[in-house]
Amino acid sequence: MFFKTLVGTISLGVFATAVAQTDISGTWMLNGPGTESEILLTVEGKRLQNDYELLEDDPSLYCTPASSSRIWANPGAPIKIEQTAQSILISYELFDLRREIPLGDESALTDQPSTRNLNGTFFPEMGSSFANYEGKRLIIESRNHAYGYIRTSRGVPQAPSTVAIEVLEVEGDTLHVTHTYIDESIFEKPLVLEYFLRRADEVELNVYDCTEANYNWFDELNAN
Amino acid sequence: MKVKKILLIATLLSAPFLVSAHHSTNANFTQEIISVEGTIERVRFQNPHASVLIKNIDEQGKETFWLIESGARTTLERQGVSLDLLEVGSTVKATGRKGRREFTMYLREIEFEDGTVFVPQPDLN
Repeated sequence: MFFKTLVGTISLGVFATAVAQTDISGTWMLNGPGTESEILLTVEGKRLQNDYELLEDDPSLYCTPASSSRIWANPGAPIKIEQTAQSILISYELFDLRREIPLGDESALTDQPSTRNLNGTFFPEMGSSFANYEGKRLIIESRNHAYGYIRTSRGVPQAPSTVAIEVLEVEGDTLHVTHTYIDESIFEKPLVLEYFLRRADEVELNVYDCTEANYNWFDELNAN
Repeated sequence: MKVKKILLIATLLSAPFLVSAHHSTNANFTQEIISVEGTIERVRFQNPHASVLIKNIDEQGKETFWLIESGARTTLERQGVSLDLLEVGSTVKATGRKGRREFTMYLREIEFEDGTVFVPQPDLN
């Protein structure tokens, strides 16, 4: 019940009439550690976590984003945000990801993932999103996630039933991102992550051109 | 208003976490500092991790290959770091954080035979 109320409450904000574009446009870089709320997993959440083997299952090894939160929390890789009247484009240098999010209400959602790389590969781990403004805040809601990991270091999972709400707000030269994950099948209570990014408009995004981290050749070297 | 209240509660209950480069450096490498001597076999300047392959030969003549990983190429380039100094065939001593995967390390510094030291990411030391 709490989850439904929470989703409904946040969704009301998402559906609010767009007031104006905010000053989130520009290039941002992660600035120091973030915060996370207590992680309380359900039985199913613990099962998914226990199935995770860091050295084998981390999607990052395969140039795949583990989740949208994992992509925000990457130091040293700039993130560029552009706003138009119809959509938000977030370009992440990491994995050359381009996330195009339509502005509007739930009806703007499509079955297609919102994120692809420069080669055109879509990543359902990032979900399908829509966004709207609430005052000076940009609110992004994402659904239809593929299974993935909100925290790759500890295998904190996400699932197709997971709803994610990202609230972006600029305070001075700091972009504050609050990321709330809601999924009663995985979490006993919503998981809330916060990141802080500094404005870095002088930084250009480079082509990442990720190479999969295949360790088989290395293991074979030492096996011989 | 309710959203604000939820966010406030969440903030009060939240704890700091350390962000880490992908793949998660803090998860994939221990805090134990080790050193390995050997010859450079291969240098890869790429994303998500630049790496140096070093061949170590112990006193019994047994060869062991070590994969010494560093930061992303794009991050290193942005910091003005290149790996041109690391020539294949050079004899070096690499020091860094021992990996959870066998025979891997996260590079802290490489010392050359003439005593000069290469530190790609001083901010991590």
